[in-house]
Amino acid sequence: MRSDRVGARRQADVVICGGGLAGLTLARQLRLEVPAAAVLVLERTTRPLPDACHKVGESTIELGAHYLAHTLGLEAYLRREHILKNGLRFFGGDTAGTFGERPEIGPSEPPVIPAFQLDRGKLERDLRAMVEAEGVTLVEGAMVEAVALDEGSSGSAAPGAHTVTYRDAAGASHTVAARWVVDAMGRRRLLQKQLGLRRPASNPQSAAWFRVAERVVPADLVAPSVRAWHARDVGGSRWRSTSHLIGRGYWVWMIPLSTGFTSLGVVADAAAHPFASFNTPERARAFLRAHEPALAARLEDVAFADFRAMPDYSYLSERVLSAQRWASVGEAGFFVDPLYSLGGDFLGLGNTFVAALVADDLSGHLDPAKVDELNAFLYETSRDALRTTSGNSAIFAHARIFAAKLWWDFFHYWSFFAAYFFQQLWKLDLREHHAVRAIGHRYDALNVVAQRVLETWAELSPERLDGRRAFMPLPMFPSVLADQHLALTEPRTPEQTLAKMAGDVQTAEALVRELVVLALRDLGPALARRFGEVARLDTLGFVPSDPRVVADDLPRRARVEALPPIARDMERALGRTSSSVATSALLAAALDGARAASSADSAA
Amino acid sequence: MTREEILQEIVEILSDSFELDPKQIHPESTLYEDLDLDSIDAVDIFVQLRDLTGRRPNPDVAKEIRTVDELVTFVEDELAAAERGDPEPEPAAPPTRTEAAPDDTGSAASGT
Ligand SMILES: Cc1cc2nc3c(=O)[nH]c(=O)nc-3n(C[C@H](O)[C@H](O)[C@H](O)COP(=O)(O)OP(=O)(O)OC[C@H]3O[C@@H](n4cnc5c(N)ncnc54)[C@H](O)[C@@H]3O)c2cc1C
Repeated sequence: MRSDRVGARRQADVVICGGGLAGLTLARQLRLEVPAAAVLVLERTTRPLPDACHKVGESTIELGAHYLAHTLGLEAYLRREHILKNGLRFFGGDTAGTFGERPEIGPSEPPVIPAFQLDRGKLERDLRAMVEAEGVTLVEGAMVEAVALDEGSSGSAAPGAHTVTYRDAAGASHTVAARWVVDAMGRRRLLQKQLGLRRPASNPQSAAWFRVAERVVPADLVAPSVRAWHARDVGGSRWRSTSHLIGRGYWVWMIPLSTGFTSLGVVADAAAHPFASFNTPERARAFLRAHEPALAARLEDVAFADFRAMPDYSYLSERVLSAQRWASVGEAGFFVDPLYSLGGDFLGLGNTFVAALVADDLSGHLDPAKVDELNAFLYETSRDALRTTSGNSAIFAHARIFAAKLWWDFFHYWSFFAAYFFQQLWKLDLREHHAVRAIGHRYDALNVVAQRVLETWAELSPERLDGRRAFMPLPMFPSVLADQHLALTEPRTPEQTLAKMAGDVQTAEALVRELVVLALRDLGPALARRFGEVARLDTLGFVPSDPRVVADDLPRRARVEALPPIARDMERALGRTSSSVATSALLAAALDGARAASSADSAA
Repeated sequence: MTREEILQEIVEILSDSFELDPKQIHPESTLYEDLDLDSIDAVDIFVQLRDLTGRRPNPDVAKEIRTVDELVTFVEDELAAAERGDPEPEPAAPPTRTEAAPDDTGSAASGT
């Protein structure tokens, strides 16, 4: 069965239901990595697909881009047919003020590790042709109606046959047998629903998006006479970024597409901005006029080529990989949040796990413990990412605090999640993989504290904190943070990466302490105690006698020499707020507050 | 921009970034001895000057600079180069944090 093509389409090793980004990339990956597997893709829609106005999921970051460029060997194609991206860029500050005066955070040069802006219509059109040429059977116009799982056998037992029933374009019904069934049908989550696995995510955020048939870039929003603003775009590549306009409770994306379109979207927290304030084209324009007047003015006479709104877009799942030979990939599994463009990352990671498990299975040793291990990694990292991407309403209002958040989030991402993928840690044996997850758990715990510190800092700040510089390079070179970016492609064995991570998680802990120091100095003696109460610093083990805190009260040169590199780097990037009270005293007050809050809790 | 204006900008960058007293910064002040800066500080100065000049600094030129006055001349030359539309130096491979360790004082490379 394995080697013959799925010509008659009565059975296949892997039936992929849904040929969107997740389904098509998995099909290609299986051809590359498990060439013996016969692969059938059933996709509801038929070509031709339109340019641009097809789907969201246009911006990629390191992991997802690495998946497409290297795992799938598409680098030359992406460089030729899509846009080489210049990182993530953020404009904060006074959203109603002059755009050129808004603090800007983003790369000052194109990143060393490339990522891309994808035109989804074009990409899926091209991927369909590619997978067909590679020997995948792709049935277009195929509407999957039912999946019947054979739950009888698991792991090494003889494979039971799952069946998939679909209706073809002419209305005829077909049933195919499948050793593996993969749900890649997007947010309908057929398998997850059928198996009762859908989990809500506490992330009350919604989005609306549209494309315009012309290039709309941040430079359009700043008069040419503001020379300094334009001049600091030294390489002329600012427009290639995913630009985010951030304000209290919302952010707006601007993504350039290779077909000449621009993708724009609004993402907002329900508590700050009800969905009904931006869920139609007219309301979205009104929303922009109220919150992002410079962009609204730019779009005034520009027609929307499409428009879509989606309430409460997040959801998780505790199981997307099963030893019973089914999987849910892409949005058919879970979706965290559009912030940082993590969708493509989880899609690539999930697909890679499926391909590895199918390969194990076809060579006769699918290990249910490994399935569970990889599944747990997906669940834990998605839950952790949700913590990172939700609850940022107040932070978006303070460019300085958001910049501090970016330091933490990027460090966390590059040193752990992205490093995991670039360095192929799923290939570790189970015991070592377990050790990776244990490091992940330490990151999770730190992330909970870090995000709480950032949120509290933002919520308590009496005035808007824009930061001291009009432009903050991120990543800043050279820095401990940038080194994590550069390390992604350094040759290293999975074992060496595991050892590196054990050190990096300690730096991560030092970084969280720096967030505390920054927040305390910004909030000052009047708010230090309250900050400690809300942010619950007592769990961090950070005390006024810590050498880092003691060093903080030295004169500059001596302090700089006594600080750990991560502390110095954050000070270089974010500056140091002068304070009449020593950091050690601020921390002591905060810890008092934290202890009082804890004992009030335990008394209750 | 006149030399005097450039000097003003540089004094502001130095005092803001490094907690220096502006009155302590003179054209003849040496960066590494008088102002007590190190190579990482120097990288950061050039990153900020880049915003002023709109040009990538040439690392070979940057690393020869020793005094505030030489910084002023550097900015003056860069602004003139921008005016003429001289080609930019290519972006250099970014240094890692350890390569830029502060003990090798004086080797200020272009940071970005
Ligand atoms: C607001 C928002 C912004 C986002 N921004 C980004 C971003 O910037 N970067 C990023 O990486 N990700 C982003 N995402 C996530 C992104 O959408 C996903 O990463 C990606 O599109 C998921 O691809 P998919 O293949 O799972 O789903 P889809 O691309 O939706 O594919 C599902 C396919 O299944 C087919 N199908 C459906 N039902 C059936 C059926 N019954 N039978 C047969 N076929 C069927 C559909 O026709 C479709 O082709 C964003 C998501 C949202 C909500």
